[in-house]
Amino acid sequence: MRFKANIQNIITFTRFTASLSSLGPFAWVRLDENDIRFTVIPEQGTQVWSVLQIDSVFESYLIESAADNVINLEVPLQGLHRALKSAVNATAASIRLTKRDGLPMLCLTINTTSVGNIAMQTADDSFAAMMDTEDGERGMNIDFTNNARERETIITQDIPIRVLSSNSVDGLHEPRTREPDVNIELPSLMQLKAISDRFTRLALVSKASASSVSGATSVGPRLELSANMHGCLRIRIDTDAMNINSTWTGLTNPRLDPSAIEGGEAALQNHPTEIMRQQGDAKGDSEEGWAKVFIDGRDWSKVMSVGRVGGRVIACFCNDHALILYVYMNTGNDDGSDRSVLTYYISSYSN
Amino acid sequence: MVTLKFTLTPEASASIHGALLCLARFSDTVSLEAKDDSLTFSALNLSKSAHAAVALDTPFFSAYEFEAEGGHLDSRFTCCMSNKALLSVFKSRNNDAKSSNITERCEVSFQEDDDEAKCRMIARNICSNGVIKTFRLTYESAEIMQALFDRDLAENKWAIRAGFLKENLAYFSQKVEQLDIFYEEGKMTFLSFTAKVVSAKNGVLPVNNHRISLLTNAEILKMPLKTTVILNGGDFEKLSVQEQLHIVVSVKDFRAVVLHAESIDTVLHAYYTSPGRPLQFAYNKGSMNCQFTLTTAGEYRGTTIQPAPVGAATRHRSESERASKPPPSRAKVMPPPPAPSGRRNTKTLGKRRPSAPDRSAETSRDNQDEPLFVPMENDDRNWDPPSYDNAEESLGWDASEETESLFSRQIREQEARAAAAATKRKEEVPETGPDESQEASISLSPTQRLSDIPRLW
Repeated sequence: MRFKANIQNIITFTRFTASLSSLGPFAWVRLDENDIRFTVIPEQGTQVWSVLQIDSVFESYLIESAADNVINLEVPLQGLHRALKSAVNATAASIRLTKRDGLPMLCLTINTTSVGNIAMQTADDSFAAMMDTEDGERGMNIDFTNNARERETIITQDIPIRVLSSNSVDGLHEPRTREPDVNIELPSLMQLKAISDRFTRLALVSKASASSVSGATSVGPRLELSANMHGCLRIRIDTDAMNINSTWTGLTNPRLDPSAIEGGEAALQNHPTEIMRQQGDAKGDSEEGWAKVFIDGRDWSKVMSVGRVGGRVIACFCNDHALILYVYMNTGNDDGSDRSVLTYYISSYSN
Repeated sequence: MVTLKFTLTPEASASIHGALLCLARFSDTVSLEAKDDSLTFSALNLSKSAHAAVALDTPFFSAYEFEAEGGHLDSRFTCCMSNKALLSVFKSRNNDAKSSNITERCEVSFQEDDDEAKCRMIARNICSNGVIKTFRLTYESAEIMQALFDRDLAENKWAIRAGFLKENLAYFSQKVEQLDIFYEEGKMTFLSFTAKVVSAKNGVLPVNNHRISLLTNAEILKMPLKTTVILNGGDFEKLSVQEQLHIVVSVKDFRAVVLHAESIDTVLHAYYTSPGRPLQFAYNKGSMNCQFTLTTAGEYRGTTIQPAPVGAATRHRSESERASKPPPSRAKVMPPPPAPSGRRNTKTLGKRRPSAPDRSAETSRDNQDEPLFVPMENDDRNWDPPSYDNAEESLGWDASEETESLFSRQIREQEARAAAAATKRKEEVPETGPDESQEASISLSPTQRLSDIPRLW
């Protein structure tokens, strides 16, 4: 079993792991010859299934295993994120699967050059040389070329992991949901996150003051998220004390690709989204045509953490059932054809 | 009679403050040892595995006066006191732009009153505008431990700029305990690792092949990262180390040393012989000499036989000396008090008890100027889920709390006044007739408590 690769897009990879680690402590990582899959299935809350294109984060990717060149690992996300963070200033970084003291490890090797380190003695000398003669360059040439070569530091971070047998992951399947009622491209996640966080806080506070009278309830704050097929998205909290909502208009409802749907163009006409398109309006005034879900405010905030990876986010609403987010990562070198995608499955609470 | 007095510039006070912060990472108490030519602050940790000493030579002080009991030449004065208390004395408040009280100098004297059981250190911070802040700290005379270490006998030495080490220190995980330092093929390696792992079922376990099966899967994954930092020999100021010699020290101690050395921007020197024998980190800046003597573990993993020690006889002696950590320390009987200089003046203005440093300014929330909804700056932390647990965020406006409390205070005051009036009247009752008391009750204020009323009848 061998896995080795150079990391070429450290910032992206670091942000990616940071987003995942807000959902759960461990990820199931599946490596094969085509792509890398990170899956987080927490005991409670939102699942994320993500596919990274190999060349979006790695280069010189090498994988070998007895099981059709597929390797399944369980990786602590905090540890991986921490290790990657130490590579942000790296000139080169590589990752490989190894064993230390009988324990499987992901070993991250980072080459970095230290800016501050010029051996003191030589720095003084070069400074003196600059002061003594007007021709400072001569002194600089001698000392600095010499130091530049020597200043490189190598850091290795060993992340304890678990190798999973293919049997143990066979039972894991991506959730299946029914066809969505509304597809909509979300506005800037920074905006959305800031507002939903504020709403969640308000809901928590009003609940805290309410529960002091009526006794504590165990349910978290519920956000109501809804969208229609005319570019409107609404986020709302509705408690005994207040009813607040924010509505976005003028968003895009992406069209479905007929080739991706069973039955093609004809089936597309009868697709739930097309039926929903006949209701509602672009200002969101009408009560008709909304698909809505109730989600946990805290959990939603963890999901919104994915905003750091950037890129387009499409939300698919299955009315009263689930919300699925497709996050198309900005990997910097995509040409639009093959992209890395994170898929979030958020189930709706009944209200 | 012992006299110990010294005066510090604000910079020197700040240096002592920095050194004390470093010593605080080893122990809560700090020991002082005064000699003719130096004053040493030292700390020994609880497990006696690390000894830290910061020696200040006389040029460090603007003035230094030490006269031992009986005038012996090599006599010393030793005592120990709380590190926290000392920190507040030397904490510089000059950086606060708003403060008009700039400390100009700090005068410290020691006194022991035979009549009183208290030994006192008196520190006077003389500030501008004639303000004098006087701190009176108690100390106890104590035997102090010293770590003996002969650098000349240390075979392995290296020196590196502390700033460079600190940069690399950031890579180590917070949770790791041990640091293995070794030299191999022209490169120096710093390897942080955890020797023990806590298992819910089996308690604390050493990490090795045989025990690992006792851990659950989640526990394996929760082990801290093992981090290796490999530095080129050329990055060192000086490097003379035996290959493959693994020497293991505590990360916590190492971190404390490096952080302090970095704060005074100096070159850190390490001296050691072999695993199991003490290691010393040393550095100096001006008249401040810092020495940290740490116990070590580790092993020699080279293929060649370890070179036979040169001069085994002398070596043996020195080793036994070094191995026994707490050698000659004598308790000094505290001498009678030296008259503190300018003691009368302290009564004028600055007679204040040492107060804890005001931290409220430091801990003020950093998101004070947060925009209403959307955060402006593109900070990665903005993406983290917020912690909803802090009760800071509350409905309403800031002023409400204050007016409310004011209001309730008014009510309470009125109640109290009414109650007082009521009791007063009650006392008057026997003297006056029942009719008059009835009249009095009519004039009661409407905020009268119901419970007070029956007492009137």
